[in-house]
Amino acid sequence: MTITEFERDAQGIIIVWARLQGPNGSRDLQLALDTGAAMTLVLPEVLDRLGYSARDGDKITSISTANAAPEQGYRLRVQHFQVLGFGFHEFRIHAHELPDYGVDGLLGMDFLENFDFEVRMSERRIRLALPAHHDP
Amino acid sequence: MTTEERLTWKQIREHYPQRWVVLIDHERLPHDTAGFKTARVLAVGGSRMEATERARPELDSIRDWGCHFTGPLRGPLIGYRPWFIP
Repeated sequence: MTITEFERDAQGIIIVWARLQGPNGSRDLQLALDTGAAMTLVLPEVLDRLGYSARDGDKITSISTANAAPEQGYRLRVQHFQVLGFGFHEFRIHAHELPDYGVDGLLGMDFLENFDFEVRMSERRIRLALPAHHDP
Repeated sequence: MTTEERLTWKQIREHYPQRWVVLIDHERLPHDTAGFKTARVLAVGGSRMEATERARPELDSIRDWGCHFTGPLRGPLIGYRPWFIP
């Protein structure tokens, strides 16, 4: 089990630190934890500087919000992705633009669904644990 | 600019408010290597691009760095749901 402290943005959304590894090294990222996002998403600009490009993508994806036209992006596997004390090799990330929020992307349910997680708002901490039936 | 001083994220936000900062030489937390205890500020700018450009040429030889906004962040008000295009 891991316990990680988090910050909250001006609107109360949870911001966590993450680390992404690519051909050009590794980058520290700030991601908004978003249980309403099915997929983990990182800005293409960040991925570009890590040495990734749309050529590394295996799917074209589209994204939309209530007040914006759909925009295309792509999905790729990154060398290593680490957040909240756990890391995955070959983790799937979606490359998509976001409005100028200041964050580098979103931490979505495709990461969180691998764990039992507990958000303690008063302590500003997240507890993350592999489920009991997990096969290492 | 390169500062030799090691700062926490809280100190960096206080020293460089509402700016983009390029951080290097992170002192990692033992239980969570995605976070950090302290880091050094390599460059500061008004945008992500300006900060990273100011960090050159040193940045070209550094493999582990991050560029972050020290002002208030804003997450999305509504969820983003990517879907696949068949």
